[in-house]
Amino acid sequence: MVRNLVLTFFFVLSFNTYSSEKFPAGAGTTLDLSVNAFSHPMAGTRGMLRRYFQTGNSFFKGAWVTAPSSTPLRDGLGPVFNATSCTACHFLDGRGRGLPDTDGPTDISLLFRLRQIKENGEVIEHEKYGGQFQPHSIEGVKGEGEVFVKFETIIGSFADGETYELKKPNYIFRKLSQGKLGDTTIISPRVGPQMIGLGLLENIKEEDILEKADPEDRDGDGISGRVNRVFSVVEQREVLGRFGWKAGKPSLLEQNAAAFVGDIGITSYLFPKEECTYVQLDCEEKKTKSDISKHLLNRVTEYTQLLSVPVRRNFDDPRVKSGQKVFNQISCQACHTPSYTTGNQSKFKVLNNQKIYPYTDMLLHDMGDALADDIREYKNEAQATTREWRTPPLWGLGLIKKINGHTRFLHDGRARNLKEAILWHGGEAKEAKENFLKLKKSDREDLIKFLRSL
Amino acid sequence: MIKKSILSISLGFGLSISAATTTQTVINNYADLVYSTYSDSLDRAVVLQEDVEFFISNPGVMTLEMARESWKQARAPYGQSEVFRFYNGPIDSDQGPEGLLNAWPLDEAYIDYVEGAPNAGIVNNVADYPVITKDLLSSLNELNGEKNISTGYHAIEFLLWGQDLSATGPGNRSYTDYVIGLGQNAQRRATYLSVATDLLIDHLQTLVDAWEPNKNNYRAEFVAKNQKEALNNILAGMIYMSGDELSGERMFVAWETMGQEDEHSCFSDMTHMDIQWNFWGVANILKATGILSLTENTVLSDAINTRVAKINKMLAGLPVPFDQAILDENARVDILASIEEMEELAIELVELSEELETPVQW
Repeated sequence: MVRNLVLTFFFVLSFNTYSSEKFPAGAGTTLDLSVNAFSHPMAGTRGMLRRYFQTGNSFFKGAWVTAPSSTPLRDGLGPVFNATSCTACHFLDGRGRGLPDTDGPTDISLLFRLRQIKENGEVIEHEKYGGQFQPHSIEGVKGEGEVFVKFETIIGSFADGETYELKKPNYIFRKLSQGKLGDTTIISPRVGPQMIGLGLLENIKEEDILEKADPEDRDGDGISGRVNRVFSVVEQREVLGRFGWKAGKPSLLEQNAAAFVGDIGITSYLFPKEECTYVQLDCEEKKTKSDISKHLLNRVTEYTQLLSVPVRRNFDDPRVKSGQKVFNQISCQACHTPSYTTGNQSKFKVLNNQKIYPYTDMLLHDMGDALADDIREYKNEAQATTREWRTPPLWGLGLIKKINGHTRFLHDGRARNLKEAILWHGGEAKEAKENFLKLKKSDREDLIKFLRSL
Repeated sequence: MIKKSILSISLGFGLSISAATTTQTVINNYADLVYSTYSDSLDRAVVLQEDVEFFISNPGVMTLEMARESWKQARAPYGQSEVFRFYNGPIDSDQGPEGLLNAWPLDEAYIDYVEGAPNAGIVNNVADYPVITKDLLSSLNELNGEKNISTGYHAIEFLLWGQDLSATGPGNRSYTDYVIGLGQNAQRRATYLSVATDLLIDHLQTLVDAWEPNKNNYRAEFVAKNQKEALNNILAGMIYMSGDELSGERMFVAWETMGQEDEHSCFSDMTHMDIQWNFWGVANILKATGILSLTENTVLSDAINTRVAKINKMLAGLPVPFDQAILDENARVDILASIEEMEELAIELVELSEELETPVQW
């Protein structure tokens, strides 16, 4: 009894210490700000849990190889794939670059989802290329082709007269192995996001997310926010979607299993079918059986759940504080919800009851024409349309440059810095963007300073 | 000079140095240790290169065996250098050669033929890679940020031993793979082996240069930097090597998966030594720098010394080869126990970092 009291007292004390905005991941926040800042387990992870993290990390980093090999635990690559490891697109657990500086081939970290509109209006996966475009392949199988980007310059100006240039990417598919994509194809580019704090996002209480959903915009603020309802293969029912650029996956387990099969061609008990379409006979011939065991898929999932979030920098800088005020003043927080207290359902204590600062409402928003996958509005991923994106969390943004060597943002990396990322906002975020355009220069700079401190 | 040798004699092993030991001495001693460890690695790689050249110009059972022996010798100092990682130094900064030197596990079929795929790999891909050069192999390593490994110790290891398809011994590549007329693409394989060895030397040379005394290089920056930060780097290397990289990534992953591929040197069956060398790297720092004498907490420093000795003994006692030990019921108990000891050591080293007012978060 006495012991329990002491423990409770200690818990309360530590909760208060780490409930400040300085510690975005609560007590598990990592203090390391080196290039490895995104790669640490929640602080204080010890013993068997830390080792499981290591095993998961090993299968996250390691290259998958062509079967049969003398390394059976890591074989089963392909037959078609985007990359041979998770790391390839989430280098150092960070964010993919997506696009080159000038016209040319797209980066390996950028993948494309493909949908086809049937004559009756139904949207299905592409008949010849499947649900995802895979440029690479194992020996004896044809890769699906190459993607190039050609930029178009968009010029605009702030209210004070300062001008800006955005680079709109146009994607060109070449050397297509299964013939033309066709006019009825919807192409959705997606870049690999940073891996930090995912277990905490998974542990945000469903009621907290639902509370902010406003699909009919009843409060009339111009911002709706829809929940993506997705089919869970684990639960065999429709549940709340949380992960992926369109919140298309309900849990990290399903997100990881889907990424394994879609991106690397690694099948598992959850997704046993390789991405070979009926015309890809070479792919069909070389397909392998279940490639990653349930056990190891769980380890990778635990790894993704335990990755920490780095401590805030320049937290007390007056200009950062002022930038935070601007953030709220122009209504960024309407979708980029600053904070939650996580639930208590995780098997990992470090993820439970933590005050966290991810800056996302986890909901879908129409982001306007410029960012839409297609000028036509269709369902693209479960309930999410071609125009809708899930609000991405903002934590870690300021460290992307150090860790990944670039400052490219948004779903395909088209924004070359944070200012451009804001300027691309449209649709429901149009008003916030327009407010940004009207700000005086020092306020704009403070806002960016604030974002960089996250 | 004389003063220095007297000092090192008075050090003993793991005993506290005189009270005169300063933080700066510890930092300088560390820089000396890093330099000598990389220098040793380079020297032995040069011997490996000589033996590789001798083997490929005279392929035979004996010459192959000599080259293999030199590879093993070359691994010993390098394994002890790995504790100098984890703080963004010359080895693993953005431009550092770590991935080119020691990346693993590798996709053998990316390099050469494997069972079931006789035409696989860069060696046999004449069409795409007509000439094998340093630039080609460097450009193919971790291509596109992927983990396709074309260079480094383990690429050379694979070219010398071949796939380890045996339960009791290492890989058994025949020297005839290098005999023109007998081995398919023998000449290209020989070129690959030779070029990969040359690259090894180039990369080790950059590390030696970075740590050479009295030069305008990384070492000069390191010994001049804020002392707490330098100590933090030194300790972080030890803590992450003991608590994560060695005990976790290199031992526990293999222990848990029971997968041969998760042992470090899987072609040569030398993983048991890799493990010991990696750990000696931690012990070397304690011995050579006198870092423990910076704390007055003798209970802690004694505990660290005792645990290091214990771990050394445990690791030396693990059965060989490691890929079989991870399957053996009794050996598994011992392996796990040594993993736990290394984690305890990491926790104690974290305590040390707190005592020295430069806490390493772990």
